[in-house]
Amino acid sequence: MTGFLELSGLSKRFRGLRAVDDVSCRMDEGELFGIIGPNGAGKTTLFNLITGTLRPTSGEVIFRGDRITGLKPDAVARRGIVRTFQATTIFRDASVLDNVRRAYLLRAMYQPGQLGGYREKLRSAETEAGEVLELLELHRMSGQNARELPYGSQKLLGVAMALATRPRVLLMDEPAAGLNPNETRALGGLFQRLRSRGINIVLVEHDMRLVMSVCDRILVLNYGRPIALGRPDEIRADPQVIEAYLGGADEIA
Amino acid sequence: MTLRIVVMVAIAAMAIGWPFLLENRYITHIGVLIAISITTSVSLNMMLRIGQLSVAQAAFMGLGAYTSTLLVMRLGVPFLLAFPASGLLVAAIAAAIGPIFLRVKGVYFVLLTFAFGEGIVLMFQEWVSLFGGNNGIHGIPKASLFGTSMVSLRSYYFFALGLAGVTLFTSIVIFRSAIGTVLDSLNENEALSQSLGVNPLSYRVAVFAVAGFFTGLAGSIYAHYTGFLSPDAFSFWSFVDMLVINVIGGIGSPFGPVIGAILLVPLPELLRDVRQYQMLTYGLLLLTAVLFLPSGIVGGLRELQRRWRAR
Repeated sequence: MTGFLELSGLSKRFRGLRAVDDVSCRMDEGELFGIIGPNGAGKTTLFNLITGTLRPTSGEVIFRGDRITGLKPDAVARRGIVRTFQATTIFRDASVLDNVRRAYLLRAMYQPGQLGGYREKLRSAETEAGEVLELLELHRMSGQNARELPYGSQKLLGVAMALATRPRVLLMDEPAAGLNPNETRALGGLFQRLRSRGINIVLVEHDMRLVMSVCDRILVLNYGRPIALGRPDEIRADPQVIEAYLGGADEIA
Repeated sequence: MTLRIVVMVAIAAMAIGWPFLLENRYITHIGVLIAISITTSVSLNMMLRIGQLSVAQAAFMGLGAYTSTLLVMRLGVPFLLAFPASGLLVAAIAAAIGPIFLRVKGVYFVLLTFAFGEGIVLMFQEWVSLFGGNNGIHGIPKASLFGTSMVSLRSYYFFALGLAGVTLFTSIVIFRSAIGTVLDSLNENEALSQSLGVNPLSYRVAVFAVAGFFTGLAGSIYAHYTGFLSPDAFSFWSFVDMLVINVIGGIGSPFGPVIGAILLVPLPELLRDVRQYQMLTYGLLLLTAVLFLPSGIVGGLRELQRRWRAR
């Protein structure tokens, strides 16, 4: 059986450096998949390879049976693989509602059979955006200027925008970075809600507790190489993983 | 909103009505030049609003002008066909070079389009058998529509005014529509827009082609109106004119270049007696605009309006 999203022998070399080295794995439908590793392990590079921001040196990315290797980021996004960014990436001068509405509109531009008038699109964008904001508990801030939001909410807004495009897979690059413990806990709840809506999540994250508590399976990278793949309890007990996080064993537990 | 519509209708009525009240050949001539200038400057404005300073606009106007002229003079094509053909040819050229040129941004795009423009002007100068070289082409026949030749100045004025109106309308519609939302989003954050599924290049190429289309049409009218073409009319300096019109009028709105053209095009005529001060006045105006009205006249007016409301 082929996976939902499949990486086969994916590698990226920057001159001599093997940033991502022969990564193969299969993410199944409905799975919450985590990617962890020490700083510089190649996690974000791997994301960039999947989303088309970078072109792999070798290997393939297969999504629902189709090769999507080397497609441009926008083409990958239109197939339903949408990413969020490590830094807050939003339209800073627009309101919260407007940010999400725009995300919805950008996506709607390409959907066939939706060539209704702009006003019509705006109206449905408005409804959709409201729903997404409610899901992320941002609806009380919807009139505010995006730049005025606290950092954590700005990151959530990035997620809201990704969701407005109705993705099949959401690739999240360190969503918990910079969040306070309360916000991080809330994020865990959000994952469950997204999942119940049938959205697949691939998570790159530094916060071990979060990853261990929410992910079904975890891929561990070290110096670009996959060193372990399995359930959280397996990962926690893996000697190679403990070795990679040398001195950080307590962090894993 | 209704006030705005009333003001617009009033301005449109004035633009159409004055030649009937004031039969002055000289002022009508300036009117034609302003209308042509509005068309080219609003086209450049479309490019500025997607954040790409296209120096090629002057060359686009030249391509439109020579295309229309050669079709009419060499091949005997009626003006009614040569006119749209000149716009379509320039749009096709823009669509062909766009995917290469628009990959780069900022200074690099400026340089690429500059080199392209210089290349086109060089072609006009050196390919003497076709373009007439530096001597240019004389005796370009007047435009004719449905068998009647446009001889009166007034008919040229209305023709050019109509084109300016359509260009302005198109620009407003594009930037107020969902496409405008996409273009603004691309401007603000390209990586984010792309991650949401927007193909940046295709949108930019489309704007480049539309801007080229109207600029080409303006070139056609210009050629048949003046009856004479020479390469230097489409040099870098004619691009600078379009840019100054945009900066002084305001690049943030399609009405900016309209105001800019109305103010700046008559200037050389007004300053005819003090020709030696012409460039100086031009420079001082630009300096004043950049220092005190960074968003142009339209931006300044908006600021005034904002303050008025805040009182």
